[in-house]
Amino acid sequence: MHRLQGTKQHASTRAPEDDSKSFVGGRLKMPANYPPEKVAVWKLLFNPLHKRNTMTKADSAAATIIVEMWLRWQAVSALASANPIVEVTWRDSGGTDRVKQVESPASRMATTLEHKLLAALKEFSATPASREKTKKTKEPAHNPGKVMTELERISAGIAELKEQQAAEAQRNEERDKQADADTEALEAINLEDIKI
Amino acid sequence: MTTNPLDAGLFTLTHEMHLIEEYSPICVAAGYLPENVSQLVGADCYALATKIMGAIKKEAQANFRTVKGVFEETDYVACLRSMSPRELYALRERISFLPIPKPGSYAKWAEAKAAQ
Repeated sequence: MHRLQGTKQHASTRAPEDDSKSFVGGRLKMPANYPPEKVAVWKLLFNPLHKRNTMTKADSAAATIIVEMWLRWQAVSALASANPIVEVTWRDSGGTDRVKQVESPASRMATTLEHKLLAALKEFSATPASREKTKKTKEPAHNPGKVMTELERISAGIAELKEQQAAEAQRNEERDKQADADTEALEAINLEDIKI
Repeated sequence: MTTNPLDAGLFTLTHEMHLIEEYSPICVAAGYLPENVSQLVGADCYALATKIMGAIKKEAQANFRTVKGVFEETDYVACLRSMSPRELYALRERISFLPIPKPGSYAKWAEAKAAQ
């Protein structure tokens, strides 16, 4: 109506602009050439979180660090479970050798990594207590794009049919050439040369 | 009559394109929004244009007829352009056009009619 009459919509009737402070949601970007074991960890940790729509692409760096930490924790944890306690020997002031059992360095490292991992997962709201802390990201704006007109649809259909026609003509031409070549080859055979 | 399905398809599409190119300017000149007219199939375009032409026939033939030798031509687009927005609105109200409810092109419609 406004376009017909050359007028503009009044500010009071216009839809308010989106001024929300939330970010548009997205998926985390996995680094290029990621080895399969890292991909597996990535999927294990972040695929369920993607369904919550709480992530943005900018969180990918933190996610990469968590994956590295997870793999290191797995390696150290295997060592720690194999040898949780190690024997330490030392010589006292009287010159006697003494032995005692202590927690292995691998076990200590594994414990530290576990604490760090838990803290990092809390940042992503991947623990039960922190589940509600991250807010849902904004839905991306719906952009339907250009709608194809009926004329464009028909033109596309005509172009496709013409392509098919050209391909069929080429096939027919090749078949005719092959048939001509076969006929020539048959004519070239001298029946008198054939001895039974 | 062509028997090749490709030729037949091409003929149908070309015919539909001709219908749209020929009759959509009349629909647009009558004040229908171009984006709506561009979504009409050939049969709808033809049906709407026929209704418009029927509604303004008397006026167009009286004032917008050009004679070229033995041929006579009536410029319906010029006739519609000479009308005021109020008149065009009244014309559209009178026509109250709805596209064919069945989805399909003129070709499908023609096929169905031929089958009957």
